[in-house]
Amino acid sequence: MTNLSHLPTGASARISGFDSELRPEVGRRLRALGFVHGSEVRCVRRAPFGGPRVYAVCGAAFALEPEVASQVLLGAASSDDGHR
Amino acid sequence: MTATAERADVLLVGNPNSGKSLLFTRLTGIAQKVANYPGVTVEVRSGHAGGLTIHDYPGTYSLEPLTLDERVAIEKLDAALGDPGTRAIVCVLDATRLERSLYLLLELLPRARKAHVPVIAAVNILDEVVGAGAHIDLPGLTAAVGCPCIGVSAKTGQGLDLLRDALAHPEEIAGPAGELDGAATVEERKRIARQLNRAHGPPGDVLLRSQERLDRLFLSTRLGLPVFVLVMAVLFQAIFTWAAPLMNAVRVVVAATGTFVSGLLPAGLIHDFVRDGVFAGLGAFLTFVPQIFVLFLVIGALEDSGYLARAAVILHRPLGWFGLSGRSFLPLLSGHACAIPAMMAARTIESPRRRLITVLVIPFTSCSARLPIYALLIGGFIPARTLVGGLLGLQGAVFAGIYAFGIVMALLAAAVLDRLTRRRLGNLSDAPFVVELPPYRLPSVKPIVIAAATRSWSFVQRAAPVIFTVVVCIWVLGYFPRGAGHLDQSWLAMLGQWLEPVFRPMGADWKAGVGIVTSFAAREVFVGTMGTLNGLEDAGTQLGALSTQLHLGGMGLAGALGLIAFYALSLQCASTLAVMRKETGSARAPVLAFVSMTLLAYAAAVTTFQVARALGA
Repeated sequence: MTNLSHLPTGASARISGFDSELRPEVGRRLRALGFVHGSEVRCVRRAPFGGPRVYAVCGAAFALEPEVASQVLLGAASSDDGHR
Repeated sequence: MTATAERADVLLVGNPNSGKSLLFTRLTGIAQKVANYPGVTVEVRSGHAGGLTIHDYPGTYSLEPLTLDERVAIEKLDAALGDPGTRAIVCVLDATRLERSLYLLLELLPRARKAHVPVIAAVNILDEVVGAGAHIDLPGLTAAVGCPCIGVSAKTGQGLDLLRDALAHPEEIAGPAGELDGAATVEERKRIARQLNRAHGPPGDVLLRSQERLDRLFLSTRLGLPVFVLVMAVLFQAIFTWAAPLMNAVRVVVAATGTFVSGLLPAGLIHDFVRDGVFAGLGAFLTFVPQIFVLFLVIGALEDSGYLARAAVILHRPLGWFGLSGRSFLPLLSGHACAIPAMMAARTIESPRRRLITVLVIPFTSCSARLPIYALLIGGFIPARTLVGGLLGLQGAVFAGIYAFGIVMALLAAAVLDRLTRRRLGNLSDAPFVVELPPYRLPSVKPIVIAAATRSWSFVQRAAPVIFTVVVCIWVLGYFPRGAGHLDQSWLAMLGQWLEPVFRPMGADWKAGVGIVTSFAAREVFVGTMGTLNGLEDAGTQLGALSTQLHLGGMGLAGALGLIAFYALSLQCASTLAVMRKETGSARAPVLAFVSMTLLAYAAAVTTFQVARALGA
């Protein structure tokens, strides 16, 4: 199983769950923002200096630091046409 | 029953970047009030609209809090829900990000229903839902959620009359309570929000595409940093050049008023106190208010444009090396104008520990109150030589060096504090860096100006009492026992002479010592004190004459460098300490910052003076 921090720029995948290490309130917030089981996430770009990456989910863009992104688990990568 | 008849409160809630503040300004106009809660940084703005009082709550994505500040804001909201004076809630939805906005509405509806408070959903930013097939089915949405959904655009004013009408006659939530109230988990609410968006919302994510095109430049790995540096250079320029005429105007007006008022008073104690204590003291403080206003103005524009979030993203990793967050950059930048609004700007930092570190290191950045001192010492003691074949003056280079020194010291101090606090406060109290990248938008002038004016006024209210108290104390010490014009024989001078052995090792005589003591009120007082002690009427405009006096008094390059080092590192600002106490919620932070920075400044001044003298300066 892979996680969000490994998603290459431009690729999309579906969220399959969260790492058990993730603090519950952070998980709740991420889910409220749209990082919810089954949502399609796209990695839009990387910020300079290997900092946070930008992800598009539910019609909005969020920058997540790698430590958080690595706790969002992904299912099988979906192709670019996705489910629109 | 009478209480409800007297008060009619409307609570405004919504996601960040949903145009909530603009809607608030549209509904209430220019008279706004900011309420701050002690210990945390929650800010609720209030204003009147007709017979209603509208309260603008901090933007939030969810009613389940993540940080301490969010918890306090949501507790305040819950308390307001139970208050009989609360007439209605307006939940601001972003039409361009409807699904996520609906999530908050779905959280809010059951709570409001339980409290019997009507909810009105204002579907904002309707003006940006354009293009083929772009349409929001408002009647369908209204029927589905059971509360009126009104399409508005705070920017164009569209639909605001409908919203006002609905606010005049709010009705309890009707419609299908069953399914919506049953949505107890995040997943269920999210699923319903998605369904509602599919059924009634606009298709596609046009806005996201156009935003990504601009991000290709602003967040580019190659050009992102140069563009950032350029934006900051413009911003800095704005803070210093736009504010200059305003600052001069304030200085002239305060001085003229002081002369006029003291002219009405008979000569004597009261006259001297009003002229030299009240007006001279407060004038020095009020002069900086325009600069703070311009700072708030520029920050507001940057925030509304959407660039601020990008800047935080770019700098998050580099600042992380020093235990800071991407959101620390704005406070540190603001600190170059004034530490007080900078500490207030630190409120946006998501992690309490990183916010504390940021607030503690802000005083290292070279605030503009230090400028007159540097101008005096650099102009008087650093030779006006040119470097690099005339491209750069030595004096300018020293100025730039002082700024760079301040930034480096702030970062180093942050790294030390990070080490020290990691074990005690731990990483557990750190909220993660999750920042929404809002669409790029052209800022609207009026609300930014109003917000900047409201915040500047709140700054004056916070800082003025402290400054006034210290100014009075120092005036009393400098006035007695001999009266005006005898500062050299006053209690203050006695104190300076008594403390001279302390100042000797850093190359300062008792006069400079008195200057240092008086600048514990505010640094800029130093120049005025030195002027008075050297028999000059208005030292601020006679820097040349004053530096000649200092030369005659025996100060050399080494002593001047020692003083510069001292002022670069010392925390001599009573209002900074007072605001630091309020922002951190305890007296420990300001005491720690004051003691350590004063010791550091003294050690640096002594070292600088001794080394410079040994080198023959």
